This record gives sequence, structure tokens and C-alpha cells, in this order.
Amino acid sequence: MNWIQTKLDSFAERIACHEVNRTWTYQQFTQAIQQIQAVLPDAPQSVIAIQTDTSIEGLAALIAIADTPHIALPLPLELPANEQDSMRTVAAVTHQLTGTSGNFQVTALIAQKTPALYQQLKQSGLLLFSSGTSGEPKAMLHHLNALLDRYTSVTPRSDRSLLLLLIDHIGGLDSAFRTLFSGSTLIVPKTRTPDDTGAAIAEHQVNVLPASPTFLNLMLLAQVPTKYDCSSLEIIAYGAEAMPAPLLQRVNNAFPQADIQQKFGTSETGTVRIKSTNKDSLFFKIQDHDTEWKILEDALWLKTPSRILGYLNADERSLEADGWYATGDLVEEGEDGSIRIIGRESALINVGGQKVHPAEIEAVLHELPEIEACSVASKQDPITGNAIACAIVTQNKDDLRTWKRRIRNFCRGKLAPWKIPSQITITKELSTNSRLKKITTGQDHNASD
Amino acid sequence: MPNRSDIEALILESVRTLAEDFEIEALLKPTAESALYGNDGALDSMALVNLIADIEDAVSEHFDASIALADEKAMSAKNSPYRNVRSLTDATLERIEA
Repeated sequence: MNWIQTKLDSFAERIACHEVNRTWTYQQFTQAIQQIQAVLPDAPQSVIAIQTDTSIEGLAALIAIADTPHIALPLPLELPANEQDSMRTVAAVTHQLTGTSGNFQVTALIAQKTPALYQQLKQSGLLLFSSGTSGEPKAMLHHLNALLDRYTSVTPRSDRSLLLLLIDHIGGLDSAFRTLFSGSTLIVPKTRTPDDTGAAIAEHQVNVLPASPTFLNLMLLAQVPTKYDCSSLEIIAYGAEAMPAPLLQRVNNAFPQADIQQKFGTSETGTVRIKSTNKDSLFFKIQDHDTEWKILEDALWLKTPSRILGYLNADERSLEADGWYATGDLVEEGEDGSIRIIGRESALINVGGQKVHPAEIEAVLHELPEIEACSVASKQDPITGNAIACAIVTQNKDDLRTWKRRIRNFCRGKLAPWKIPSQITITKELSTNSRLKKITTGQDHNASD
Repeated sequence: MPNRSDIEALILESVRTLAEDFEIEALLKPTAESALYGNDGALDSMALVNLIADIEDAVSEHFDASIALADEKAMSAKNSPYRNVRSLTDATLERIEA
């Protein structure tokens, strides 16, 4: 794609990426793209799993594939082996790209039955899997060019942006493309732990940090802001899941010099440019000339030029023929056309006929200073159909009974009686999935970025 | 194995704290005859769900037994075990002994 080549050439000697003790200039990045182009199979359409040694080479592979009739499946080596296997099978992978600069290899695999959806593709494709927190992840087919074309007008900057999400995720790709097509520098931490993240921020004076609320919370719990010099941070961009208001406040306090911005998008539509109403607010306005939006029955609908063609393994009820996508995110409307995400339609818990948003309860629980993290889920109950169960993480050693009464008394008056958790468990930590989001039970994936 | 009066004491204590937390006047000083759910019972369904969870947790904590008080048997019983403290004590004892 011409505009990409022109942009990358113009950045020549600038630093594209720091990853695993190695520095890549834009020239070296361009060379990696050319090396990969040289080993790619000829037409017809192949489905290529990208398993390069580094993230930056995976990004080079995506750009290389954009000019071919092939379909790219980013399959980072960090993903659990069983996830990789099921993704390979659903995608009907035909080739595998491995190796590193100077030694890229493409291996042909045993041909599988090609999904019918692939025939609709006119140019190169990109397969992304939704970050399923439960149930089987959904495979989504994008026009790779349509996704890349949304970055043509990115203006040059000199940011140093941390890459926490892998390149198999729309949020990770958005951060990476926005960084690379603006001539900025991508910083990949050694591992995606709060400590390695803090070390990378200090070492490379990272100024842009995109992270999920769960990960920001983990960073605060690990005391990253006091252990590492994070004074270089200018922008913290959060997204991918609901941000509890008290956590937003703590992040603001811990990184006083940083502008805390909300990001939004879905794997199905690509990222949508938004502007938070202000630093302390969860409300935002959609400000994206590419994007149309509407609210139907409290749920948000989006229309972008980079919507997926369809799913390989899921029904397409949420995809309208005219390009609209029903996000499944429930929103509240604020003043002047601003909106706020309340939670997932599918995460709603029905307690004796009353609808309950887990995120609303979590937000109240987060106001209890001794609760470090919490997760609300539905539990089957023969009396009310479902009951509200909640797991909390706390250093406080009080027994379960004391905690239960504390939570009950705290929630009374703040939440309707049917929203007050009746089941409490105290756990050491809440698990996060490979996309650094909180793992929940009994609800479907949250596709939102 | 706990005896009947141990269980009754535990249920009375669970009812009393629940009544405090949910400000249910009628159950602040519960007795074995106190009506809980249905008829003249002072609990609504949400308070009942909470009471059951509290008793299940307390039984697990004090007697190291894991029981489910809201099960199909309780739902379909001709005389609901949730009528009063006495019936709930019987149901709890029955499940611990099972």
C-alpha cells in the first residue's frame, strides 16, 4: 500500500520500536516487511498464522500481507497452546509464518476446508478473535486494507507508546498502528506484568500508556508509581472494560501529571475516536468523522468503514446488512450528546424479574476503601432465579461474616435491595485473561475495546 | 455433630443480625416461633435469599458442613421450611445429617 510505504520511508532513521533488548529503526522495520513479502506464498488466497519472534515483526507481517490476497491471523506465541490450536482450526490456517529478521520462514500446513466467508473477501483479510472471558471466542473477518486505511491521516508525532496488548487484539493493533504511522516509538515490555511495565516506562520515558482498568489497578496494587519513575507519562488511555469511578480517581491521584483518556471501539468495528467530557468523567463524545452511531433501547449501535465482513463461528444477528453493528453495550446518555457505557446487555443479571448491571454494583463496592478489586456475577438461586454473588480482594483479615455485614450495610441506601450481593467470597486475586481483562463468569465476552 | 439447640442458636443469631442489617423491626428479637417468610413472615424474598446464604455460610464456618438450604426439596415441600425459625432449624438439621 503506497501511503504506508511513503510514510515509513519518511521516518527512515527514527526509532520504530524497542523490544527484547533490541532497537528497530523505521528502515529496519521496512526491511522486515520486504523480507516477509519475499517468503509469502503466491496467490491464490492462503490463511497465514503469524508467529514471529517479536510483536514488531508481527506488525511487519500484517503490512506485508496487506498487499496480497491472503488472510492474516496474528497468533502471538504468548497465547496458551490450546487457545492457539482452536484458533488455528476455526481459521482453517494453511500456512505459518515464523522466525525473525534475516530468517523468516513460511511453512505450508495440511489444507483444511475453507470457510465460505473467505470467498467474500476481495483483497487481503485479517482474522481477530474476540476476547472471550467465557465460552468459545468468536472469529471475525476484517478487510485488512479497510482497517489500515483508517490511519492514513495520522499526523506525525514523537510519542513513546507502551504496547501492553498483543497484536491479536483490535486495541493492541490500534495502539501499534497509531504509533507506527505517526513515526513514534513503540515500547514492548519484557513481560506484561506491572513491574516490567513500570521498568519499561522508566527506562524508555514512555509518555503514552494504553491499558485496561484492571491492569491499571494491578499497577497501583504493585506500587508501580512509587517504585518506578513514571513522571514521563503524559497520556494514560484506558478502555476494554468498564472503569469504576473510584479507580479512575485513584489513577488520577497516582499519576497527577498524566491526562487520563478513555478509548473506545469494538473488535467488530475498529476503534472509534472519542473525547472524554473531562479527566474525571466516564462520559465521552464520539468525535470520529468515519463513524455513525445511534442508541436503540439503551444499547449502542455503530457504523464504521472498517466493520467486519462476518464471523466464522457465530451467528450474525448483531451485524445489519446496511453496515450497522449492535455493540451490545448499554449506555446512559449525558448532556450535549455525551454517553457513558454502563455494561454489557448480556451481563445483565435478572434477579426476580429486576435487571441488575454487575458494573453498577462493582462501582459501589469499589468505594469501600479496603476492597482492592471485586467482581460481581450471577449465581443461580431457586428463590429469585438468580442471586448476586461477589468476589472481593482485600488485605483486611476480618472474617467472611464481618465482611458480609460491612458490604450489606455499606450498600444499603446506595443500591436497591435486590442489587445487594447475597453471596460474598474473599479471594487472593481476581484472574485476568490474556487480554489483561478481568475474567468473569456467567456472562459472554465483552467485545468492546 | 451439632445438636438441635446448637443449630437453633445459630439460626436465631443469623436472623437477628440480618434484621439489624435490613432494619426489620419484627425480627430484632427472634424466637423459635418467629414467622419468617410467607403468611405473617417479616422477610421479603431478597431478605430470605440473604438469610439462607448467611445460614449456609455460618453452618460451613461453625460445623464444617456444606449445605444447600434453597434446593428443589425445599421449594417443593408441602410445608415450606422457610415458615419460621423452628421449621428452618429442622430443615438445616436434616441437611447436616444427610
